[in-house]
Amino acid sequence: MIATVTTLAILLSSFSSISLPQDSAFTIYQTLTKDIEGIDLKLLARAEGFSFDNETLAHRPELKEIQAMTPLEACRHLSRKFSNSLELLDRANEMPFAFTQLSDEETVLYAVKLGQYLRIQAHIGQVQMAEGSPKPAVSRWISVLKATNNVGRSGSFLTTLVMGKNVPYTFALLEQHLDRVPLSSCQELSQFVTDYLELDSYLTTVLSKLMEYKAGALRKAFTDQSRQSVVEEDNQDLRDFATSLGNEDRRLLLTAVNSHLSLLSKKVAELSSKPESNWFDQNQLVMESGKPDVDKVLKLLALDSTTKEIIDFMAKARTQFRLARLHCEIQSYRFQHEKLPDSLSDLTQAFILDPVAKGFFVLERIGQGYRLYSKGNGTLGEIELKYRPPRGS
Amino acid sequence: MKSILWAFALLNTFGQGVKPLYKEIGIIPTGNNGYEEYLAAADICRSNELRNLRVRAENSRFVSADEDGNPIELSAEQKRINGLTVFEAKQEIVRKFGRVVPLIELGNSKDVRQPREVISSDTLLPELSTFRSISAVMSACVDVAYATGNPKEAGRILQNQLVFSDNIGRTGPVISLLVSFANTALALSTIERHLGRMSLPEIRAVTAALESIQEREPNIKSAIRQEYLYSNNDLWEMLKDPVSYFLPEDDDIATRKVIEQINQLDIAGKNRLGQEVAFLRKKSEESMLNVLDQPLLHWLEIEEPSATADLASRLNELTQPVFSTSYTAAARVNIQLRILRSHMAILDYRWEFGKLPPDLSVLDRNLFIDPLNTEFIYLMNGQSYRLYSKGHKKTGEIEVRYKRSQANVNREVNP
Repeated sequence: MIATVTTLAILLSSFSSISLPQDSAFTIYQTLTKDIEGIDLKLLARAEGFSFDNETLAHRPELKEIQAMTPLEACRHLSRKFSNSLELLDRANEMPFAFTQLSDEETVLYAVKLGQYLRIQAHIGQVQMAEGSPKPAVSRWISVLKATNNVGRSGSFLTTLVMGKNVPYTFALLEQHLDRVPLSSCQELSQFVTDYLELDSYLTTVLSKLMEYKAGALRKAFTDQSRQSVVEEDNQDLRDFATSLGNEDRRLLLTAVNSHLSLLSKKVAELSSKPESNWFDQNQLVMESGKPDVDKVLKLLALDSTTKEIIDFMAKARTQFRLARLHCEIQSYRFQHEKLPDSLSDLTQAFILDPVAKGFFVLERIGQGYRLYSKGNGTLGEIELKYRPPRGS
Repeated sequence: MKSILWAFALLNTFGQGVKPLYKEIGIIPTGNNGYEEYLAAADICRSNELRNLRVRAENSRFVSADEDGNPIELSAEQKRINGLTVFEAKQEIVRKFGRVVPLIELGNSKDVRQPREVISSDTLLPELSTFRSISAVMSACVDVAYATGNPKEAGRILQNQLVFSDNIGRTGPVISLLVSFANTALALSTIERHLGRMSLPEIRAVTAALESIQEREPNIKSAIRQEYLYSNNDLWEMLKDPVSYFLPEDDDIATRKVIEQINQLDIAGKNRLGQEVAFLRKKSEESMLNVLDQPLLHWLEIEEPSATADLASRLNELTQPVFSTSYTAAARVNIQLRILRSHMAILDYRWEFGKLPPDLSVLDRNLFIDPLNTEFIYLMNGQSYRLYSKGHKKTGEIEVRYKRSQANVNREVNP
């Protein structure tokens, strides 16, 4: 996925800039990431449980020291260097965010770097949990999620996807410590999720940016003589189609399609305003112009896999936020009654609704524990708070 | 600080118009015996309000009808408590009785010993029943500390609860030991309930408590010594008036025959009999204590000395303390505490590595030695695990887990 995103970033060239404020969320986030060194990323890898193989250790003896650490020790090292910057992170989180004066490649790199910083912060929360300070730990994870949303909401679809990785990452840590989340932190997290869900889903923004990108790619595909500029696999069909047409046909077709792009943006906004269960039918984005060639291009624009990936990501992230809130409800219930709820009907009714699955979340009692999940929707599969680590880690 | 704690404890007692325990049992506080702080804490806990709140805190309710359906009038307070959640009841316990915790902590920091100079079979030990309430209050404090995000405080309380429970068993005869076991069981059930959420400070605190307890001589040794001492105190009184000593509780043919034979003796004969019985007791005391120096498995195979036909032997059998159940309980608690220590090592590993140990080889294996078998059994089950001892035919499997009987869950209490 990252490779795809990076390729897309290289292709993008039309996004540009406005002046850079001195004290903006953008500059604060950037400042926070400045101290990250290569060794910190190795520590982060160790904190995530990564083990360096013998060959790597033979070439990089300095890693042996890190390899000898327990993952928690690696977290402690990171904590010593980065724990004090939380206040600054919180300050930036309260400011509206906008990308400025960066190329698209730089934008993605910015998001990647900020993502690394936020992962470090998430692991500092792990240290706080281990040392018996659950309230600051949960607050830190909320700060990480707020930064993720702040940047993800305002950036391009590329940064949304890059930053979006922090959502399951942070929830995975939360999931490990659910039993330890005290009542006040349950309330704090629940309120944060409610606030988050009350804001617009920002699917409109992200898909509009995507459509804008695709329009640019379309113009390139139809005008660039080499026709090699669109190499992104999602648009292979579009490129093939463009290649099959003569120059005049392509010009006419492009004009016709351009005239329908604003309508497509409107459809995107309509889709975003509906409950998540309606998001998955991408056919809603397909328009009919009455001209078969134009319709074919519009269909290719609407039904590509990147659009699907963004919709799936947004729906999944929102579901995980809801699941986090519901887990907090369950933990609060457990503290209050010293038992798990018999069913979800014992909890706040508004919290048990699952818009993605068009029903309710599912609570399964397993021994003394439980499993909470969404049935998901179609290809999305079941959704849990639990994070499944990437292969190789 | 110390005097403030005492003042609070005494004010509480006077406020309720109840005689403080130290006066009731007739001791003069010395200030250097932790048992005195325990008594002050017990004074605070001798409260009907606490008794009522504990009903709800233990997930029960007062019922408004008896088994035959006859209505029972609940007091306004009982009705109010019925309306609380379990957690609210615990919060109220903490608010009103949580001040016992610093008292126990202060007591634990001192030498703790039996404050009475002499204990005999007639000695009442009224504080023992309230010691259980102190432990219940401490458990509530732990639960509330976790729920409110103060695990370090929970760890400090658990550490003191374990030491307090153990100290009780060092201060008196076997009854004190049994109260100590009951309190330890309560502490263990509290810890078991929170095992999954324990962070490193609590792990360190509980480990420190366990190490200090395990360094000591087993409490059962001092309990046995004191039990023999107290029963020897009774011996001469019994010889003077055997009828009052035995009857009517022990009214059977064998006892009546012994009484008859004693009554036939003159003073010199009774003195001789007393010396013979004291000698037999000394021998059986040595024999019982000797077992405690042997591996734990021997504790469970102990046999009480049996009587021969002569009067001294039969009298000794009738009057000497019986310990076999105490030995079984002591062995079980000993194993439970060892298992708890092993849990702490597993949890510490889980924090450091973010996963459970794959097997015991990555941990200090000495911690997992099972004195009744070879090694504790460690079974991983996904993200959780079970750790237990296969135990012994007298104990069955042993684990830290407190097995709450189904009847205790949501049971109802007749006021």
